[in-house]
Amino acid sequence: MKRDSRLAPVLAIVGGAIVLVVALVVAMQLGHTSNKKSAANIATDSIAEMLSGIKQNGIELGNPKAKVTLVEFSDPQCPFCGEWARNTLPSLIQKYVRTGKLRIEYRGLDFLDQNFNTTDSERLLRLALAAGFQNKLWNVVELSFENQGQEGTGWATDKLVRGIAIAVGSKGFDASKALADANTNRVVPLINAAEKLGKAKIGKDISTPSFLIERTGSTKVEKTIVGAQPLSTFTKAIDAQLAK
Amino acid sequence: MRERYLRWAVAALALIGAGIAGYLTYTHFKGSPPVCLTSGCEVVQNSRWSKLFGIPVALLGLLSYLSIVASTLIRHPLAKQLGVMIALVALGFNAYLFYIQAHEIGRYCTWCVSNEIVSLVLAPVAIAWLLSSDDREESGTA
Repeated sequence: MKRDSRLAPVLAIVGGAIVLVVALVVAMQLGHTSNKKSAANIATDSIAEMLSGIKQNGIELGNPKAKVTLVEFSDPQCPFCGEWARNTLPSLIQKYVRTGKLRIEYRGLDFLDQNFNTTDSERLLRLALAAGFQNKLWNVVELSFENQGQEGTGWATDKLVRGIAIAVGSKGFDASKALADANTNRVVPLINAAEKLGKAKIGKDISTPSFLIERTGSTKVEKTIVGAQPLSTFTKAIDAQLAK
Repeated sequence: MRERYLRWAVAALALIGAGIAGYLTYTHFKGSPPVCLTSGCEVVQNSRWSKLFGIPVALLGLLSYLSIVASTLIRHPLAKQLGVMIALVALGFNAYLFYIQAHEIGRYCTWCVSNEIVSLVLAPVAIAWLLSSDDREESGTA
C-alpha cells in the first residue's frame, strides 16, 4: 500500500518529464522549420541575423579599416566550402567581423562545373556577384551554402536560384534586378579576377576552399590556409596578426 | 541514511554536469572552440542545433543542473520531485541531442557526449533518491 502511494508521484513525474521533453524537441524542430523555410521554400536559418548590421561593400564584409583581411576562395558547389561556411564562418563573424577586427573578401570560383558538366556553381556565383552590386553578396553566398545540394546533381535549379534571391529579403534589395544582372557580362570580370588572384597567390592547383590572411591594405600574404580547417586554425592565425 | 547518500550522489552528478555545461557556456559566449579530443566540439558548438530560440543549449543545461543541485539543498518533498523531473527531462533532451550529433551534424562533441553520459547516470540515481525515504520525513520532523 505504501509502495503504491510512493509510485504514484514517480509516475506523475515521469509523465510530466516525458511531456516536457516532447515539448522541447518539438520547439527545437519547429524553431528550425519556421526558420529554414521562410521564403520560397529556401532554408534561411539565421543568415540574416548573422549578417545583420555588418557593412557589406561588393565582395567585402565588415569594417574596411579592420586590421586583418581574410580572403575566401570557394565554389558554391563545393561541399567542404559549404561545411566551412555553415560551421566555422559564423564564429569568425561573431568574434572578429562584428567587433571590427576582421574584414572578409569573397572570391568565388567556378571550378566544379567543368568536373561534373553542370552550371550550378556558375549560376550561384553569378547571382552572388550580381547581389554584390547591391551590397548583398554575402547573403546570397551564405544562402547558397545553406541550401547546398550534392555536387554534380544539377541542384541549383531556376527555382532554387530565384528562391535564394527572394530569400535575401532585405530592404532596398531588388531580387529581380539581381537575377537580371546575374545574366549579364558585368559579373564576368569579377569571376575572372578571383581565379587570377587565386592562382597567383595560392598556386595554379588552387583547390577550394582556400584562404589567405593578410594585413588590410597590404598585398603580402601572411598565411595561407587550404581546406575547411578547424576554427582554431583561423583564430590562431588571425590573433597572431592582431597581436602584431 | 540511504536517502542522504543518494542525495549526495545526485548533487555530485549534477555538479559534474553543471561543470561541463558551464564550460561549454563559457566557450560559447567567449567565441572560442572548446578544448576537444576531436574536431567535433566546435562543429557541434557552432551548429544551428546549439541554440533553442536564441538561447545556447549549454546555458539551458547549466541552469538545469544547478536547479538539480538546489533541489538537493532545499529539504522539501516538492523540491525533490522537481529536481528528479528536471533530471529526467535532461536525460530525454540529451538523448535527442545525441541523435542530432549522430544523424544531423555527423560529428560528436566529447564534452556533449560526456554530459549525456552524466544525465544517463543521474536519472536512475535521481529516481532512487525519490523513492528513498528521508529519515526526517519518516519521523515527521523537519
